[in-house]
Amino acid sequence: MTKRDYLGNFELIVMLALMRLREDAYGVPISREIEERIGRVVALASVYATLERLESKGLVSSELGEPTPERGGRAKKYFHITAKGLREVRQTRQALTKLWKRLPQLEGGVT
Amino acid sequence: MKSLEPPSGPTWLLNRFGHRNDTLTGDLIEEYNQGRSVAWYWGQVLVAIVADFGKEVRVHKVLALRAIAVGWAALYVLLRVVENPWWPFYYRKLLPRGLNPSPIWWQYYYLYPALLIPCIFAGASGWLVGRCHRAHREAMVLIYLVSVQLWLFCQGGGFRLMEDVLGNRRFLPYLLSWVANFIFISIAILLGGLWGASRKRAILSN
Repeated sequence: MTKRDYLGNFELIVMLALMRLREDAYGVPISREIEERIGRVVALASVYATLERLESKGLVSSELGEPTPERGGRAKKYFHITAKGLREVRQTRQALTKLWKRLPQLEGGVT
Repeated sequence: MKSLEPPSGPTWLLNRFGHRNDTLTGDLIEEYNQGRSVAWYWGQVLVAIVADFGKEVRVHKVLALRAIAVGWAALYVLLRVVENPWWPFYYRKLLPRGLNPSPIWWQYYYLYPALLIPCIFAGASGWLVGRCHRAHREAMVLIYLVSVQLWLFCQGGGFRLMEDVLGNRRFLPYLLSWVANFIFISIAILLGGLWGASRKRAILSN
């Protein structure tokens, strides 16, 4: 497997946020979820750039919602994780778990 | 809760230079109405524009190189053919009247017309870049603009003047003159490059 087959750090974060949000996953909640859960301030443009990349890999799908007045008449773009995306997240988790287990100094929780 | 209208400047910039504008703009407006600051809004818009610009250039590397080549070729030809003879002619007309051509042009009204020439040429070169790259007009004009700005900064004396001003404050007017030129030429390239560009393309892309 090549390096490109694994999810990047931010890609994995976005995928996990999508899984947590389920049906309500569009730009604003995704960036808020990331900010609240890991305390990392993210630019919405970075979230969209990552989502577009994941969509081009077939790991995420998207659909446009209805335009709403609180968004100045702009529609929301909802993102959903695909079956391939779910598989990719699991594989990445397995790979990371194996790597963590082989680090003896981290087994006791000491960083 | 704030008004529904976010700052118009960054929204205009995003619609002009951004590619995901409608969805992203909607998200930004929603966040702004939930209490985000104007500075946050500006920051998000600038990050979006830079990200889009970087992506366009990465995806269309050859086009970006062509845009730079086209712009510089146009600029070179215009400067060689028109500007080089123009300056001595202009100075010859000034000197008999006792008017001294000075690099601190902004202090002397009679030098203003002479400064228009580089701006017009910069605008014309930007226009040509935009016309030759209509499908990716904004990104190609921006990459050409960045190349001109880098040249102005490195070869055009900007870096040297900054060093001089740090050593001796009497060079400050020269630096201000250079900064004004830098700004005018940048605006001219942007205006020329985006002249006649349709906003529909960006809106329809969503």
